[in-house]
Amino acid sequence: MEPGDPKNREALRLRLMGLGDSSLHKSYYPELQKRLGELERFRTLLDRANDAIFLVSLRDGCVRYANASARRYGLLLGAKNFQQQCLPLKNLLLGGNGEGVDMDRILAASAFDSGEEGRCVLELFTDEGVRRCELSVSVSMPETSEDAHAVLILRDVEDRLAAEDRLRETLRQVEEARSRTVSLTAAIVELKDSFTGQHQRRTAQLASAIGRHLGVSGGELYDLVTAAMMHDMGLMAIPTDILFAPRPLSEVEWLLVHRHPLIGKTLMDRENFPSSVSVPLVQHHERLDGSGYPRGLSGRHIVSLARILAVADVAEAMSSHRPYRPAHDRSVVLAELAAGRDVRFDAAVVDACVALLEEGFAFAPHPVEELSQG
Amino acid sequence: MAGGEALRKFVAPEIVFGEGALELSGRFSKNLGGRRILVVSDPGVIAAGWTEKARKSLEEANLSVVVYENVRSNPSTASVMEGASVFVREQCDMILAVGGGSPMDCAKAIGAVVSNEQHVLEFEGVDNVSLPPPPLVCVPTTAGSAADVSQFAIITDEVRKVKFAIISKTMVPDVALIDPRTTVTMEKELTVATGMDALTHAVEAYVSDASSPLTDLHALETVRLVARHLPGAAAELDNLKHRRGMMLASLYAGLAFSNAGLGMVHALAHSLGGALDLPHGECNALLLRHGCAANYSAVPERFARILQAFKEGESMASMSPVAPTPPEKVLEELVARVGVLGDISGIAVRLRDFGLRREDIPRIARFAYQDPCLLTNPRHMDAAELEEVLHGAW
Repeated sequence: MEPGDPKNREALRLRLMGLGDSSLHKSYYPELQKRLGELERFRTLLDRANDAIFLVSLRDGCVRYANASARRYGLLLGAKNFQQQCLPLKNLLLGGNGEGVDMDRILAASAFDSGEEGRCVLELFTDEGVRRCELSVSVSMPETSEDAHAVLILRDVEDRLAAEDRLRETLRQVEEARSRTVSLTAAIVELKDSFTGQHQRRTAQLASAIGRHLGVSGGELYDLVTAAMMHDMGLMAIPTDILFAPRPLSEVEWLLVHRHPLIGKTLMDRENFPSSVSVPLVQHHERLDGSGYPRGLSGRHIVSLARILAVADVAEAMSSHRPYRPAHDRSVVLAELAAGRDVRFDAAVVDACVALLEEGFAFAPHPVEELSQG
Repeated sequence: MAGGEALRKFVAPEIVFGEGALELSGRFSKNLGGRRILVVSDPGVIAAGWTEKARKSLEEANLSVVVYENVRSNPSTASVMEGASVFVREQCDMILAVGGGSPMDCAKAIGAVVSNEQHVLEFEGVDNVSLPPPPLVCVPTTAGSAADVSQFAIITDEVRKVKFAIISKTMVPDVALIDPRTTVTMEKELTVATGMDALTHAVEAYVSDASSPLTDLHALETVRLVARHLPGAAAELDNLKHRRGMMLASLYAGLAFSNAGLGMVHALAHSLGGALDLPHGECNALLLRHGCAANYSAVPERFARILQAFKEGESMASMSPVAPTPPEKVLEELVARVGVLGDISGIAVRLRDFGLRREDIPRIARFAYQDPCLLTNPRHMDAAELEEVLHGAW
């Protein structure tokens, strides 16, 4: 407003005399009310949060602020005024063992990934009893150490963790059932044909060792052992006189015998075994150069577990006594593997098997525990 | 024009007057919520030792202190902005000004800048400071500017070469700690110049068309106190009785002009001081006589009351009775008395002695016409009339 303009002069004169609309004495109250309103809205927001939020002074370990959700942890929370008295965190937050939880304990338990914020899970005493809580802690270090404080955010994860525990237990039970099925099948095979039964067990041991040597682990290893434990069960469909014949088989008889991987897979499919088990089983007589059966698959069409199973199968069979021949020497076995390396057999698998045999790999006498690997 | 049925308002800070007020700096700053105090002062006041005394009081109250002293007379916008950046950088939360009008005006403007986050030039005019500045305590060390109680802050714009006024109720300090002892370190010239400033405040406030019974009381008492104590204070620099009288005069004048406004003398003095960087008190001392002459016809009875108060003040000093003055003699006697006071320290009587060139007069008059002080002058004056007054004073 320019004083030069006559119609402005009277308005300016009134303002100068303190009689203008905004000619008010210095007062922080309007601004204070505005900020208090903001603060109140912010506090409502914090109180609505399901997570418990604590502000803890690092200087004296006292709680400076706690939101409404924090009350379910506190023994003394409620009417207390955090500004006027010191309520130490360890008096408010009790661990499952009944001991107070202080900042030292929280900071020691927390893993700081990004450097700013740490996380841990603690058992805490709550209004619903002892429950597991995920705790996030971030420390603020202002210039003056007087004001250093930590923000704790607590989330009750008991329900989530309990659900996870139940899920894990269910999974374990399913796996146990599968193990029992496999063991039972293997036991029936062994009842009818002790050679085949023993061969399956020992092949499973060797396949497992080779697999681990090559870095196979977890569920994949479990699948490998399962496939190995049942890889010859299709033989049970072959008439006994052919199966146990102490003589070379005729061409027709061989055709029958070559069907055993397919028979095994058919049985597995009926029971809804996953393909990660049935495919290695059906392929265990396939060879890299296409000379195997039942499909004559070659190269990359043969899955890696089948390649392991193939080598373990051959190495175990040669090392064992058969009704029609005695056990081969280890040197003969090694020579056969060397001859087939990168031709019929996967080179890396052969190398692993050779290494194991040279280290003096021994078959365990009662190896049913192999199945508990998974 | 004053009084009657018109609305009038009176705004004043909390005031502590008396020897020892300076030592209350710490207590008052703490009560206002300060923790880290920006002390705004200038090298002269620091040399006199008053700043150190204030710092000690603050530190005894466990307050931390940051001193900003780069303030010269007629404080500049650059100085204000620099002080504001120190306030922000050092995370201060309150301001204590120790000194005369310059550090106090600078401190007021710093406060407006830091709370509003605007450039100081944006506050020019009336009621343009929207958010209240941080708490401000003033310890005046001169008896004249009364910036410690007024709603004015006068800042020099080095670019336009003018002084501009920030006028707002929010510029009234929170506390004035007025300790007459702090004025004994003023030399004679400054004593007279600041005393003439106080007298000018009183005269202009009394004849202002926004004056009120409340401001009249203070204005007339100022005239009595100046007449009684200024010659003595100038003659005996360490006479605490006269210093106390002049400090009170300055305070009363401040309360009067902050609420009643000023007039053409201040409008001209601001314009002149901005252009030539002159001491404010001396500009007022020179121009006051011309202002009285120019305004006399608008409110002759008011000028008669001023002369009366002058005489009452003198009689208290000399114990002689006050004789009534015939109306035709009032202006002549008043102007003579103003001249005598200015002569104590030989303040220039012609504008040309200040180094003003005659051709600059129209520009000075033009700027003076824009000054808000002119709004309450007892009669309307345009730029041409102001030019005429300046020519008369040249």
